[in-house]
Amino acid sequence: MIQISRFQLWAALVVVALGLLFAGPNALDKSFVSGLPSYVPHQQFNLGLDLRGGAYLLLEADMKQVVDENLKNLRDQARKKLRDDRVQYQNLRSVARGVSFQVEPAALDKAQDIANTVARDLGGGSGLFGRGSQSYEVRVDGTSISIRLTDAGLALIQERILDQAMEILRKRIDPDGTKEVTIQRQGAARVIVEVPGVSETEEIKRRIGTTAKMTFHLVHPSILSPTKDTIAPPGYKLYPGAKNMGEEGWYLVREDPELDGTHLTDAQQQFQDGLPIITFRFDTSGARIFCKITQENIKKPFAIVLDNEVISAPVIQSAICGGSGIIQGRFTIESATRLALLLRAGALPAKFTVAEERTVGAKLGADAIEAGIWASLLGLSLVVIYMVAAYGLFGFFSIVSLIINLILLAAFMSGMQSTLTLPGIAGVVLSLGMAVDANVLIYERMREEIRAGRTALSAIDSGFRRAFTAIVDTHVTTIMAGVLLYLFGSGPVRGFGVTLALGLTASIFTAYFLTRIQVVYWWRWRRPKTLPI
Amino acid sequence: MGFARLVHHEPKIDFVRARFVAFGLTGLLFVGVLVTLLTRGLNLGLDFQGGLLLEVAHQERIDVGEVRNKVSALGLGDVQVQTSGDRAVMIRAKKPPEVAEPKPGETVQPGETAEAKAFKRIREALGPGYQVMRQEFVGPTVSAGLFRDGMIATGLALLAIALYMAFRFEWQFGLAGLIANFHDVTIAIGVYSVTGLEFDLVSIAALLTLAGYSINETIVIFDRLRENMRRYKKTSFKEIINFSVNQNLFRTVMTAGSVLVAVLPMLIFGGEALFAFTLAIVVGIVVGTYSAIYVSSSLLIYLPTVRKWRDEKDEKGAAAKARA
Repeated sequence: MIQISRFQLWAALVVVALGLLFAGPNALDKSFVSGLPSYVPHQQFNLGLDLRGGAYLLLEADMKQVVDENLKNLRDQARKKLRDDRVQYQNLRSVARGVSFQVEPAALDKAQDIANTVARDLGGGSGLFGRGSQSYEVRVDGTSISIRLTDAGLALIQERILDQAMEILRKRIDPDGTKEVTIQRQGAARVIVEVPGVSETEEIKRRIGTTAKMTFHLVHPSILSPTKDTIAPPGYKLYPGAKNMGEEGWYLVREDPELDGTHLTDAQQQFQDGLPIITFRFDTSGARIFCKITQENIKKPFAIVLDNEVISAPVIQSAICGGSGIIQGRFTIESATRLALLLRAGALPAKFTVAEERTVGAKLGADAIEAGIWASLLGLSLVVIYMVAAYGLFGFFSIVSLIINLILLAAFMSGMQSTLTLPGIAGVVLSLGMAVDANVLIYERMREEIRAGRTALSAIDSGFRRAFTAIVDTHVTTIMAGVLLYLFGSGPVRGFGVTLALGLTASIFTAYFLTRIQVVYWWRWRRPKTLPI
Repeated sequence: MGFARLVHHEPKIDFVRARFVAFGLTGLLFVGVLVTLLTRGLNLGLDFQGGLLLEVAHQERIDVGEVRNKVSALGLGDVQVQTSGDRAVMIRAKKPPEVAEPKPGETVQPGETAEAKAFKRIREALGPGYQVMRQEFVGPTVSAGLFRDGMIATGLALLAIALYMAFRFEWQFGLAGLIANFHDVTIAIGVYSVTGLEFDLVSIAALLTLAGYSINETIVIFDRLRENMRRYKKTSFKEIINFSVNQNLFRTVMTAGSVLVAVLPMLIFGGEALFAFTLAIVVGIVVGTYSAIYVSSSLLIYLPTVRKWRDEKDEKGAAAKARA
């Protein structure tokens, strides 16, 4: 153990150098770092919202509604297909996660084919080997046939909804892509949104909206100014105007939408004759539908319904067939900008509610970090004094190891782009405590060996060797715990797990190898008869 | 020059003999924890209970009574107002708010949720001059999930540690370590109950810190036990425990000391946010050291005898010499 191979020495030096290289960017200014060439590591680790201030929102999608809509569609499709193919059916009804119906024994085969077709069509294209994807499964029980959504199908729907929602949320919250907004999935129905540097969530929530759907409707041809007491004729529905968009009063519009927001590709606020307007553009199929509607309904109002409110009902001035057009209205610049943003971002594919929100004012975050940093520095200095007082030169060696331990931790965290939170700092404290303990174990063991009458060299050797098993066991167990906390925990527990596991990984290296290299090289240099501990 | 050098010989304290006193103490502590949990309970934080919290600061000193009057007039249900430092108050509504009817003249934004309305009302009621430091809302679906996730993660971590110890040592050690951990965490929860400190997700991280320290302590002792059991095959297990704990005593004191000096500034200057952690670490040093001797090691006396190393060949014949 007193032997340190050249390989070990160089490996240790390379690790330390790499640590400095990766940790370095954190000590430098952000603008300077971004100017560095790309082959130089330039990642910095992030500070959690609890340390830098910002807003955290956990949004939960109403997946039940989404699934219900899918199932309603399934039922409608099944009914339509059966009718189109003239198959007599009975008792068509919704059942748990699907639809079921009964047919005459003679029509069973045909009905089963229809059910398979419906399941395949709704399953979203054929899968491998031409088989329908497994989103829906068809079951025949006597003369009763059922089509049900499978677990895989449910997961697929949820995944699609969340992916779509995350993209739309990003567009809405951070249209310019400058805000370092983090948007992540959590589980099957939740999305986490983190916006640093924001102390109020109202603006974000307004941008997110809790919009179910945006749709375009034709307005009733004769009842143009209904009141809230107007009774809607069949096929029509009464909507209030959105007051914050400058729309007063009520609108009577066709219940079935002509178009929905998913066809919009772009919308911008612009000016025409000094007044704010909105320009927009549809995708190809949207443009085709829009062209047809506008041709047939010139001089009639066309209502845009968002979250069950009419946000605007511009009158169609001419047929619009190029796929783009403008909306004039009683807009202020602000309301036009907001509407353009809503139109551009599209509607969220499901209703989202805020399940959890946290904001930390930037001042509180700054206070926390300042207090934390000062307390940590003070604590560290006290440890330096303590270790040097207790173990002299060897104490100094272990302080060198401890500082490199911190640098390596910063390097790991930068490389992994992880986030340092307040509980994360606790993880750092525990890992540093254990790193110190590793050194204490080694040195106390040396003292014991000296008491047992060993020479300096022999004491150094067995001090490291005997302490090694305890160091490995304590570190491995705790690293394991840290990894598990990271994998299964949420929020603060995760942050703690990350720094703990990374800090201890660094500690095995520093407490054992670096301290040993220092002690051994010191011994080779001085060849002392006794140890200064 | 170190002060620890003043002691040249290993102490010879009979720890094992005092174990019945310790068992009594442990029993008393457990009864105490049970009583305080039943009578005082835990001050569950927002994370586990749901509801909303608003922390506001003011330029001048805040009159808590006035804030309380203003806020309680809003009809938000059970609202707590407490000071947080010199110029700040924390306003907390335990139940998720149900603000159904908009007040006359209140504009309702599309998509504005009940908690957003409640926050807005509180801020409006407070009037100008207040700065929002922190605003939190935890919905009922989340609070249960957070608690569950935290518990599952903790449970798995503790189980994995026990399994590793069983693998590296013997199953008795894994079991004893697990029980010692359970002991320490229970006592720490008791501390939360007695002090009335808020128990939230951060507290779980604090408990994990404590458990981490305690495991470290236990393993260091076990490592020594393992080594001494291999060396001194004729010696009784109780003697080996005594011997190992004494050998380790300086290391225990040194480590506890170094962690204490690192943690004390945080306890004093680290601010409210770090307080819970540092307190947990301090409690962990005391409880962890105690349980490493009197829970995990003492349990081994009563578990089926650990034989593995005692039947191995004596590799180091010189071991007995070292003892003398």
